[in-house]
Amino acid sequence: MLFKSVVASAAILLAAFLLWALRSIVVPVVVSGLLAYICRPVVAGLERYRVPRGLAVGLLLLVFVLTALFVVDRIRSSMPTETGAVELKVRALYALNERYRTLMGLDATLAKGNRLYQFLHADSDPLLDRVNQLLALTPQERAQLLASRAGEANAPSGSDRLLDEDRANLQTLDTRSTMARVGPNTAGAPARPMVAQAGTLTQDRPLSVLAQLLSTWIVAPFAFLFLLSDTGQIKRGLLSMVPNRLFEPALTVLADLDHALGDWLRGLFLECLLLGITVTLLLAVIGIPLRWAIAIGLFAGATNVVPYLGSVVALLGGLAYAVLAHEIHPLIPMVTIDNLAIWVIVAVGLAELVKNAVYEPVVLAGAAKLHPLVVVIGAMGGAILFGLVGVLLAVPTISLFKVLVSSTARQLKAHGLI
Amino acid sequence: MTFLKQAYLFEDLMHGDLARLARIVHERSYHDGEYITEEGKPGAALFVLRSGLVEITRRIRSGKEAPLATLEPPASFDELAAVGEVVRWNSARARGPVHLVALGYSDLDALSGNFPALANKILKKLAQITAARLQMLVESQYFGMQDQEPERDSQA
Repeated sequence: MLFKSVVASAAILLAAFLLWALRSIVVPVVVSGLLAYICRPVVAGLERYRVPRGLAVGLLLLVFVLTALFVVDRIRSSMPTETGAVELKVRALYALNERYRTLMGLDATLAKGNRLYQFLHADSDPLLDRVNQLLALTPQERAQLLASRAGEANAPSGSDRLLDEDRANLQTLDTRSTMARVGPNTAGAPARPMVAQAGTLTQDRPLSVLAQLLSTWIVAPFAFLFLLSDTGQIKRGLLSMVPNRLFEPALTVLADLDHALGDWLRGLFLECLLLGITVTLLLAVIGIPLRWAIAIGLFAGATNVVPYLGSVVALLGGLAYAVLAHEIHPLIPMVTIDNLAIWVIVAVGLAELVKNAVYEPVVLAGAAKLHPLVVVIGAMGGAILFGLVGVLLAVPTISLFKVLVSSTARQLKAHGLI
Repeated sequence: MTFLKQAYLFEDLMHGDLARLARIVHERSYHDGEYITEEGKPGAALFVLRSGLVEITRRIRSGKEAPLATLEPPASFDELAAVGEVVRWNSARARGPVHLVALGYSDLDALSGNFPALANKILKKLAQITAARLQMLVESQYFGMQDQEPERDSQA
């Protein structure tokens, strides 16, 4: 008995050590497993139509590859050109400085403002300086901008809106740097060093990051294929190791885990879908153009798989639009270009409220319920251990662990084993 | 797969169905005297006897176990446990080394989702077995027909 306990303890310790040592490939394998779990009904559906399992898996993989190629192509085609990106930077910086100037009631020297400015400037000015540094054009970018608008470089003020905005940006940068008594961390001057620094980083990092990603995530497609091709061998293998008297309890516990995982995935999918639709509708109502509202809603819905991230994404996307927008067409008359940011906060807050009060109780009713504090602490723990994917997997892991413990206890009690 | 075809429960299944079924059933081995199922405990799987003998018993008032039947391959028992979780009213114990094939309630449930036609065939057979048992019980209880022909392979 003592020997068995020692062996069992050693096995548990060894498993924990292996899990920790191989943690870099645990996440890709778990993500592949979840994907394979989602795709399993599709393969089974094809099998019902007498398509051999191997062929069904191959067809599914082909669809994935084609979809990935299509998405990459669409993203590449929707990326702005180099000149487009420069123009966007000019417009963004101008709009941001103008919004700040209006909100804070700043005068021409940018040194005197309203009460809000007096209260906030110690924190907000350095923040705006940093954003100005980030968005300021380098000499090469400015040359590119002027070349793209050949013949208009010396155009008089008012004849080219973009060049006017660039001139205004230069003036603001100059004023801000004067105001901050030109230093390494003030506006204007350090724009080039910052860009150079960023360039150095991008030269060093992509290869090592790519190599690291490849070395760990290369296992993912193989794990996906292996798990999708599995026709029950893994489950049977696990159950074959279980002693006879624990066979039926183990069978029931595995079924409970399967149900919990299925309920969670279905609930999560529905919740993401509903949040995406709600965000899209509310942003469209407050005047954000439908195509941007749809884009923000899609992204918010997709990122909602990480707890609370969907609403954060919707908020950032909406606020970015509110800062950059020149004109809006809201369905509510009270919304104006000046108070759009406040309405974005209201709309996203309302979407989050509806998600928590309506969607979650309905769509996640069957899934394991977790206290919000457990979700937050679990997500933080997942982030510390496994990074962003750890946050994504924290909730299902905790839910499954909860079901595992409760179901095991229930079964062992019912079979008179505890 | 050949063995599964011999079992009354699966005799109507085609080759493809039997191959699918063979992928999800569990093979178990028991030593002499070991309990396969126990009275009063929840059941989650039906069993088909592959080799050896299984004794079906029920506890009587004195606490002793009274034998009800002895099963030979390819008999099946505890079929209702595959339809839903039930509390067992009898025990099954291995007499000598026994090899079984088990089909869990959750396995049949998953089969209903993925291959409904196959699950339907098995469930129909389960309904036939249950109906036949009920008929035997009623006849023996009310008409004293103890000497009727037993069902081909499911006596439990």
